[in-house]
Amino acid sequence: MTYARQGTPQTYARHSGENSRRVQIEGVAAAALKKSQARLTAVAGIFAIGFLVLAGRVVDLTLVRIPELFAAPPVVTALAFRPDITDRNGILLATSLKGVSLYANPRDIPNPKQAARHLAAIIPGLDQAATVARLSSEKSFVWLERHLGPRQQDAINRLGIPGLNFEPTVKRIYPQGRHAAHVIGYVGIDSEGLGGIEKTLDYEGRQDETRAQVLSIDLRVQNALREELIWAVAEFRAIGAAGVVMDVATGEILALVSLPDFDPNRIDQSINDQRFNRATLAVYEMGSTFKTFTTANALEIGTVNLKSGYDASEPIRVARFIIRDDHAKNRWLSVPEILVYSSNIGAAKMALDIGSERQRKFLGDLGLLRAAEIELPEVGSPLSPTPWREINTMTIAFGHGVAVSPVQLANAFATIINGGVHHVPTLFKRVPGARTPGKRVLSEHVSADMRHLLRRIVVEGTGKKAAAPGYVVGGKTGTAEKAKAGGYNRKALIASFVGAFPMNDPRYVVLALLDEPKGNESTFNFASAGWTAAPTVGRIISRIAPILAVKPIDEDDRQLMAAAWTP
Amino acid sequence: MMRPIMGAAIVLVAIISFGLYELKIEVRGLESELSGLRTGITAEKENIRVLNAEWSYLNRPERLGNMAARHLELAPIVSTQFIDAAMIPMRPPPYVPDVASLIPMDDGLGGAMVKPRFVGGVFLPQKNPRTTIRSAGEVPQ
Repeated sequence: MTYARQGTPQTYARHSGENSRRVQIEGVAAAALKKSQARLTAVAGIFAIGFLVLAGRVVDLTLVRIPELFAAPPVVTALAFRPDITDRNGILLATSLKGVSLYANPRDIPNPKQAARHLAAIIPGLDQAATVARLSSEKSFVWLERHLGPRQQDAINRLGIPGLNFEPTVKRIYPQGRHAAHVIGYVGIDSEGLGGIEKTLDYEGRQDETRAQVLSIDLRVQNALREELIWAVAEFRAIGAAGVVMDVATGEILALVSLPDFDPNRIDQSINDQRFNRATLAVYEMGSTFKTFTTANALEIGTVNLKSGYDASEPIRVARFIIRDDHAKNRWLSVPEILVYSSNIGAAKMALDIGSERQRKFLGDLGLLRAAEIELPEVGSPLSPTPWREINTMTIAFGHGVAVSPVQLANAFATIINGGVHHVPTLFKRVPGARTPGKRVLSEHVSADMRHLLRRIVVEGTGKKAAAPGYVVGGKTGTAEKAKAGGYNRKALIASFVGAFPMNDPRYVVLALLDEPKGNESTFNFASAGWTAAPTVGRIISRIAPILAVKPIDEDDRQLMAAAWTP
Repeated sequence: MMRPIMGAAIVLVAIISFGLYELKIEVRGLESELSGLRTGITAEKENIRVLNAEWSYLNRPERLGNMAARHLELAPIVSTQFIDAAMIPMRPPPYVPDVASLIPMDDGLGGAMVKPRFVGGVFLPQKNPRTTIRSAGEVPQ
């Protein structure tokens, strides 16, 4: 059909067969026709637009948005709930599992006593009397038990008691139990982090991450450290213990133990003393281990060299204090002897020559005067004197007057022996092979001298019992009396040994600290560090060195040893 | 003229409607299958998490230690058990026979001396077995 759009009167041509006629419409009819034509056009236009929109949508859905439509929706599992935590070798330390919680509508429970009796048979440890009381209340909602297993859920369903219902929940599980409990921490009833790394994850907003958080902890080393500390606590009847194993080159903490410890799966059954982290939160006056820092400080600034020494024949009287030696030699001592025989008098005189300001700066550089920068909420701030008087300088030289946490001590010791570079300690695994940033605080030759001196302490000094044959152990003992009101408690000791191996090329620092050890027959009733903490470190190193692939060498072979010490 | 077009259009609409219906039913089936699979995957992932937790629980160091003490004749390694690789003697060089001495010799009695057929992978010349003279009483092989 064709028609002319222009011209009035309009001319319509109609083709039907061979005879065509022309019809002309004029006047009112033409106007009506024109109007309806316009309406038709408008309606057709609207429909056309509608169809175009539909066609566009079809193209959009079938061609443009295909990837979007075919992408799987995010799978909601317990995985998205809190990240898993693993040790450095991928062993699971914390995970979240789905379960159900049981709640009831007491108004629907026909017989509360009977229901409570049946439930108590299924849920061990359910308080029957309290359950009866809850089921008899006027409320329409009461929690009965959180986190039931599938078997218990099935058994409760089989009871057929109306008014009992389940709510899906997620539970945090710590498969390794007490191992690394103080590192991982624990969560509350609604799975919010309340301690350790769990709390750190919440604090740093990492609780929603789906990728597992890999710690620097090595579970095998952690286990060895924990077992040996448990042995030491039992053997020396200590009230507690702390232990740290740290990589000297990266500051990674491979093991961190505080005893007594707790089971994070049953946090409600633990007491405060168990949850207290002696390795990071507690600060102790460490005693003679600080002589390591005094000696390194003096060698670094050159107030002494390895051949100079001090007269240690007379106790020093300052104000109301008397500084005397526990292992008194009553003669002039060289710098190595002051360290090896742990002379308080010698260390105090050495510190006087260093001076208060330089001593404070050096201890600060070692990270001993500020809280350890470790990823735990339980970090103790060190205690240091203000003002820092001369008498403080002298006592701090042998570890009294500044209180630090064990992890700070291990970190500072690592700095002394690793060539003199301070690394920030961490509980998260660093990228293997990457260079860890650090700050140089000691020159390399002083660090090398310190390694020789610390080795001598174990060969011929106060730390002989820390020897682990083959692994060239070196380190320093420290025995301090615990502070009490107005002085020190002579009976309550903090015995510590901080060592490293192998001393010719140090790889790991090992620290063991015993809280109030007592002597026994095997130690001739001595409770000092050389008799308690030192043998503990020796046992720890003998166990962990093979795990950490440290090659032993024959310590009796002079040639081999000489070759091992020269770089 | 209009009627065949109308007829064709109606048939076309019927075919398209039927096809669309079939497609919709098929998509619905596929979608329910997909959501079933997704539920299954979620359940399996949850199961894997349970198994991982259990595996970690079963690998507790103290449990492994107890089992090793009970079932294995192994103890923790001590430093004296290590030796340097350089202390292990090298493997001796393989034995190279003096070929000349191995050529079968006549023993002067008509019989060949017993010689190995192969030395170091080298086939040695042998006497034709058929010509070997057996002494009386010898058990034929």
